[in-house]
Amino acid sequence: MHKSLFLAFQVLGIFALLGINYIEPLQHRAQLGLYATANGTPSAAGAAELRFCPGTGKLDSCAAGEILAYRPTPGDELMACKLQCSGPRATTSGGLICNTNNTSNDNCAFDMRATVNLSRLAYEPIDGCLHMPLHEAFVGEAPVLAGWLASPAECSALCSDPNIMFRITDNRISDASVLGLGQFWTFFVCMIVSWTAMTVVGNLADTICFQILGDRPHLYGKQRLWAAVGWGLFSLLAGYMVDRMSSGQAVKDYSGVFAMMVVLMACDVLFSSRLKVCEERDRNQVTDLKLPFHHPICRASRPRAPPAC
Amino acid sequence: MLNELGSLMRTPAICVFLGVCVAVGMGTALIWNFLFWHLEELADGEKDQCSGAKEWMKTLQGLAMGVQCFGGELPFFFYSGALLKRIGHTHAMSLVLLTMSVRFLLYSVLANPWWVLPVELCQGITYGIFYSTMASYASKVAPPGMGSTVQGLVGAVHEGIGIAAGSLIGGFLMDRLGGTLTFRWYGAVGLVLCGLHVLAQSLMERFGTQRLDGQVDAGDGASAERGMVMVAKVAAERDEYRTITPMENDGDNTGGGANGLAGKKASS
Repeated sequence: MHKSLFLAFQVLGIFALLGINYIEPLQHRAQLGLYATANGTPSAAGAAELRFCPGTGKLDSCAAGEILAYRPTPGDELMACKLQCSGPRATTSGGLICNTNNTSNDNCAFDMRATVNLSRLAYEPIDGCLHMPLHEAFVGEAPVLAGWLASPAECSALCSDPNIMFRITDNRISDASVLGLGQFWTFFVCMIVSWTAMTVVGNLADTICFQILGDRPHLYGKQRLWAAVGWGLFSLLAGYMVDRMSSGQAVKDYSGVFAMMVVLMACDVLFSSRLKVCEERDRNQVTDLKLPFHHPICRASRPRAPPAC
Repeated sequence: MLNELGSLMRTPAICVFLGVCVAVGMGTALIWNFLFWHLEELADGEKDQCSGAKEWMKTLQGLAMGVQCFGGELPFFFYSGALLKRIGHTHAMSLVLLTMSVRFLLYSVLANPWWVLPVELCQGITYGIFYSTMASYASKVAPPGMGSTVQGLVGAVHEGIGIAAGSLIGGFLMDRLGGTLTFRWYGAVGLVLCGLHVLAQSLMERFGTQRLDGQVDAGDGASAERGMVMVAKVAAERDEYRTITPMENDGDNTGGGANGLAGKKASS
């Protein structure tokens, strides 16, 4: 009974911990300016660029340096953005379609899809902005035409590259709004379940360990020592691994340690399932609950060197 | 049984002891939940280190845990028995409070996150010595047959009140004040509590109340043994904080150990 519970909660723990890896990251929108530029883009469409200018003062030269130093994986240089823009109505003269045909409104709101070539990003120290030339741009299904953008527009952007987005968005959220997020509650459930599972596993491990140790409970410390050694060693390894896998990225990549967790926990389940635990209990236990280990009667099946607890 | 527990709870020495357990729990919560957060804040604020300031952050955090484990907990758990015998539970608790306050004040003056590594050696005292003291003191003062109840009570006070309240208050302060000031406040309050603890102990001694060490110091081989096995059990229940127990009493006096364990098991 102990052993099957032990294994069941180990498996439950694997799934709950692994669930954390699959929680969707929060999507923050970047506030960008949309400007016409003189130099053309590779596409025949009208030349334009997105600009990120931080609200307070210039872009920190450090942050700009980090953005420019960022090299996406080859083949991934095009960052796709979904933009919700609004600008003066005059900007639409080139054939842009406003979301509404309400002519009394001076502002024109339009949705746009665009791609940005990350290798062509530029930082302009004079205006303190990050310049992101558009590679392609579509309004609806139609590619935008030359001279489409007569005056700048403001856009709220959702782009595909998490490392760029991390640096050009304000990723703070208020405590109050956290409670409305699905991600928070998923994480909450994963944490509760995994901690519960791990606590049960820890306690059952001790119980099983003492059952195996029988009348030698003083040897418990020698078993327990290996848990401490494992804890220390794998903390070192996991920390180094995360840094190595996230080299050059603003957002840490934890997928490696989740994989490590699954492998180690699978080993744990495997080895635990091979433990020989004697389930027989002392007859005294029924009458005197305080002495379940006093007269172990499973000595015959007790391994000479108890396996890991 | 409840009467015995009630009179135990009315003993001033026990109240002081439980208070210390809550205080240390609150400090431990700050370390568990917000130390790494503080390190990340420090790395973000480093102006001279422009590019890749956080490239090594997780490595540093892993190293910090490694130092806590191998440099702090392992040796101190190993020698906690001898140390407790030498200085007694009262002074051990004062030492824990003092070390924890100093540790927090050191965190609050950190500028370069890497200097956290030597500070982590304090873990041996603030966690290793504390856990040994808590568990073995609880097993010492417990009335006959109530070892597990008292262990459970102490554990519940430490974790249920101390850790929980410490996390909540720590989170609130981190939000309002940031890491540096939070650790400074915790450190300052810790120093005050340490002073109060020393004062309370000397008052209790002067006015003849039972000291924290109680009357148990003489000839307590079995009781010490029981305490050490308790340490093992209590430490084991801190699932994520793997620790070890002293092993110097291999082979002798197993009966006491078995009794102590049995008591604990029955309660859990």
